[in-house]
Amino acid sequence: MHVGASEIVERIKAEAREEQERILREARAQVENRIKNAKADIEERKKQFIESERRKAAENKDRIIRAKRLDAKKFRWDVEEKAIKRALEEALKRVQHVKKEGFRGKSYPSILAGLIKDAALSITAGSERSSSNSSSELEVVLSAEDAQFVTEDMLKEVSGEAGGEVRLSEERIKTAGGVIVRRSDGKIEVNNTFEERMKRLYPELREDIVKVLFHDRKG
Amino acid sequence: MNLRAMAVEALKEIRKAEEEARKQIEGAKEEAAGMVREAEDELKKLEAEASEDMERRAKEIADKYAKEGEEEGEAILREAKEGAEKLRAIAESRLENAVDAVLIRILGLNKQVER
Repeated sequence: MHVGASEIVERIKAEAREEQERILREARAQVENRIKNAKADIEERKKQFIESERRKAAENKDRIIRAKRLDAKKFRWDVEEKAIKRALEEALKRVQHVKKEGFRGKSYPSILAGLIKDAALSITAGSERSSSNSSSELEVVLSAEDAQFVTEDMLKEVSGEAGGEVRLSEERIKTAGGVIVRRSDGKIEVNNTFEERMKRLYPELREDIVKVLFHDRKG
Repeated sequence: MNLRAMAVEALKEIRKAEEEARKQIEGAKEEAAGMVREAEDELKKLEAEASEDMERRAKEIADKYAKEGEEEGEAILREAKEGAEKLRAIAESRLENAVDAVLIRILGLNKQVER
């Protein structure tokens, strides 16, 4: 080969080698870089994902515990509600015993007289305010059983204290006990039957029962 | 060999070298493209593995926390049941007093006492 041509060929070969190495070097670097970046990106995404899943799982755990705490409170409420209901039922049952034996040193007739008097005083006080003519005439309505406890003397005494005539009505009602007192014109009535008083006084009764049953006693 | 023949021969050698160089560079480009393709495949594989790994770990975490929640919750319930049972027994022992308290109000004795 001619010397000049031989040099050209060698230069072409050398340049081709260099170009080949450059192409491969750049490709390797590009690949390494992409994989490195992709791995870092994956690791970062993994980290964020796991953290997010951990937060969700922790919230779920809290939700489970909150639900159980609520169920736990329901156990206490359930016991309280059942005990309150039972105390009220037992009290109504005890009324029959009270009719026979009295309660806390008071006979049932005197208890009835107290209820009649309370009702009569409420009505007469209301009637005075409205200046009604029939304010002085009141009738007492009871069950057949309770009517036997009411005497003329009792009504006379109540009439004196209430400031108006109180008489026994012919009408009889179904009730565990207690009394309805109404003005004879029927415009004002106070229902002091035990069932009605239980309904009316429910918030106070509930409070009393809870205090007695569930509050810690000292001493 | 005369000069003309020598020149022709030299040109042939140069063309051959150029062709070989072209092929060599072409080969390098193909090899580089192959490397990139392999890298793409590897990346897909890495993504798939990461996705599987994340799914598995998410389930592990969710299961672990849910189990802890259930265990702690059950302990709370157990304690509450015991507490409620004690409370029920106390309430039962004080029932008569509660009945008295109810009777005092519904019989109107609290007002009579106040008066």
